[in-house]
Amino acid sequence: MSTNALTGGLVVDGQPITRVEMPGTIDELGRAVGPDDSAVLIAGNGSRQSFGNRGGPFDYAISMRKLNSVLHYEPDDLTVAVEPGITVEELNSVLAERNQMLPFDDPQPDRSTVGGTFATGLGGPRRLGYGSIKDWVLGVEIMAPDGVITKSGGMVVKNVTGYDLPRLHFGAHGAFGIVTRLNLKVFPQPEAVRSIVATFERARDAHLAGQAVLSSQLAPASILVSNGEGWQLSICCEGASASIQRQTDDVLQVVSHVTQPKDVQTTQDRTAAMWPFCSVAKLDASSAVARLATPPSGQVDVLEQYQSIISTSICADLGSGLVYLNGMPSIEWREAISKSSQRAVFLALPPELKKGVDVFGGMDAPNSRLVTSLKDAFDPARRLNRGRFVLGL
Amino acid sequence: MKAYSSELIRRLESIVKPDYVIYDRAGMGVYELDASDESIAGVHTPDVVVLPETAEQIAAIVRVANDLSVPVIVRGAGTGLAGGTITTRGGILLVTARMNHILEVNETDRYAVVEPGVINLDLTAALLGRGYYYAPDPASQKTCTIGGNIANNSGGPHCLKYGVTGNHILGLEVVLADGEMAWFGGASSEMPGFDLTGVMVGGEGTLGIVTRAMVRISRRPEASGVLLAAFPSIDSASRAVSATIAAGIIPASMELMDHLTITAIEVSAQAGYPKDAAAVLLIELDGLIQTVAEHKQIVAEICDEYGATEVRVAQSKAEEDALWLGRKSAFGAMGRLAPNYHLTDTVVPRTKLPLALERVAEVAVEYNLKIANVFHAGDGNLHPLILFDRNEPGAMERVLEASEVLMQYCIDLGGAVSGEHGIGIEKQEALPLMFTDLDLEAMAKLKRSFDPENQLNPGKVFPTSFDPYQRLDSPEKVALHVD
Repeated sequence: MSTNALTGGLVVDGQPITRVEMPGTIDELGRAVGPDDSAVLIAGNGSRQSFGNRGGPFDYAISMRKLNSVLHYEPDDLTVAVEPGITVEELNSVLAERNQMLPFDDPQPDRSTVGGTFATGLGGPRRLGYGSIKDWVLGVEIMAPDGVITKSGGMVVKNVTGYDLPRLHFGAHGAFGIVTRLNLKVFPQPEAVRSIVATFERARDAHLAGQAVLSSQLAPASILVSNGEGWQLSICCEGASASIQRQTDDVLQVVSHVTQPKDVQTTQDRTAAMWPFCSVAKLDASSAVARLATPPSGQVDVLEQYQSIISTSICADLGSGLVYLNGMPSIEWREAISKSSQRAVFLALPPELKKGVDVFGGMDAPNSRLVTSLKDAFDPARRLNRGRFVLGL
Repeated sequence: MKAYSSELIRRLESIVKPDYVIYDRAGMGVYELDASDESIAGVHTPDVVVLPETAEQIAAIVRVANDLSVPVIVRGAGTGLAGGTITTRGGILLVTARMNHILEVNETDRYAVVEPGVINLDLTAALLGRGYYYAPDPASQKTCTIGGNIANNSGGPHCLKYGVTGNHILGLEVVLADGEMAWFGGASSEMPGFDLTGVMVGGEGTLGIVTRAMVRISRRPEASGVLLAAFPSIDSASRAVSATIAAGIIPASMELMDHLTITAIEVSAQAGYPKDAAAVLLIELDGLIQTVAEHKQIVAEICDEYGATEVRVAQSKAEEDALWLGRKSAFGAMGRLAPNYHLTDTVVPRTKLPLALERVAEVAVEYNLKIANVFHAGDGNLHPLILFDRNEPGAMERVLEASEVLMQYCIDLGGAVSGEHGIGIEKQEALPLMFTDLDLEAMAKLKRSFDPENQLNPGKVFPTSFDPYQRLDSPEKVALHVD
């Protein structure tokens, strides 16, 4: 994807935004944000604009895509500092030169920017093996709506100097400021990778086998259960060459001990193990995607319930305690999800289905008061991504 | 006695049993200090000490504090090293010691729910038979509480691979500054909304009061291995640390001890460390059996390559424990070298360790002090222990000056003021070494949003020259930024 993808304008929740600024330097960004009270939509490459409440109206948009430099890379420290507009794929290709990586698991790594991934808080199934994106963020620099840049955290892996403001901005959809720099911890690339995909007749069998692997000492990087032709248990093993074959064999033994799968496929890369997540959690403006916060013990019920009620692609992420659902956009589908006892977030809904809905699922009174006072403190004029965050902030 | 005192005590005694409301001087004596340096923190007596048993009681106490405009300071076991629980402005010292119950352990969903006064090691002990453990392991884990660990985002030797406290906290029940109760986060990795759990961790009790924590429990790895490598110089040992990480191996921990520390350990604990070594590295690896076996060999080769004079590989759990014994007794052993020590917790990018350690040695000479090094080398987290005798005139001043010089040097190398012990009052004046007033103002916005009346642990974290309740004027800020 070229850096000019958004110059022709941007459509967010059906609202066209014709003026898109693409600053190439921090000074240009400061001028683009400007001192006035206009409402500005902050975008990366536009790949996740389906996620967020119906906000606006927006006077213009700023795409961070051209702010895409690697500012500082210290492979021996396992740290890298980047501007937010670099894509996941671009960053990983820089890290790959030194046999390092960041396990983003992004469904669209060529489009998603690192800043956008941080701001929307959308990580992937390898959280189990590598922790959440928020755990990799060592420090950030943030531009406030008045153009002032502040830093928090640092460039070291352990740091308790002052409040952990990077956590405030993680998943906050830019509501409290614009990320201008991210300092990240990186990982050595594993020597060897295996995808194991076992197919079962019933969701329950696939999931119980997955739970058995989760509670073993085999330490896989991710465990998913999804529907397709039957139910697939997809496991990614990553690590040293010395152990990968034994790890794979033992995973299969644990699985078979629960229920003999109908079919087992093993491959030597992670594509097959990531595929269920990448296909279900892929976002675009016409899709309907939801994410339920459901720990493993509650996931079987969700899998069976949604499979039987409505035709939906489902992917349960055992290691992260999340279930993703991708269905035919309709009010019925939306309501079936909203009524669930699980806490649901809609990652994508067509604009007409967002009316009258908080896609984040709302908040209770004390949390609402807190988030509102934080918004008042950090963006009092409600300039940044107006209306798109939780509670329509 | 302050004007509000009798009413305060009467109202607190209506919330918790009078036995748990302490206001006589003798009873409050133990709460005047924590594990921080008395000569920095000073001795401050709270107005009253209260030991609640439930979250509802804490909420009621906070509402009383609001009515009477009294600050509330929370204390766990008092093992904090930065003076975070010292009642510098008086107030209610709320001690969580009685809230020490493990409420739930859920192996399927890999979490435990605990009260804030649960001792860190007690949780791991409770999980032992189930094959799980709680990963963050600060040196004080036999006495420190999980609530205190959350407040300080505590680390420990095994953070290198497993991360600090914040990486293991899934959700928190919190009493907010207005006495309302809120729940942040939950059992799933990414809950709806944003990450207020992460914001609370490391808040040093200035943002809210944790009354219940949902923590991640981890499966014990199937294998572990411990090596001890002796080096002819501290420089070669620290280069071996960087080389190991650069080779793509992330050990569970890498602890470095210098000659002075080894001497102290051998006098007191007889761990069998090589007495003539300039430095030893204690390295623990864990994971799958084959990986650990292979990595033990690679790490041993790296140590050889960087000049190790001896590499010992533990052959049994008993030998592993014996090698760890030295490290674990290091701080206690310092008493054999000098009556007092001052610990400077600072951190540098790990490739800068050789430079930082060189500077530590120079400062020791410049200030005529003995400095022992025992620290989390894999994280770049230095703990120079400056040895001195408090009774020697002028010694304390020299120690503090040396400590500040070291801190500044580490920050210049791209490091930070504190790696894992927190800011409290010990390091509040050092924050401007890293952060401008504008950076601090962003933190102040967070503080004001959570605690609009400055009721919770006031006077901590921020430097005394920077009042977080005195807003910086926006246009001036822009002018500053342009400069």
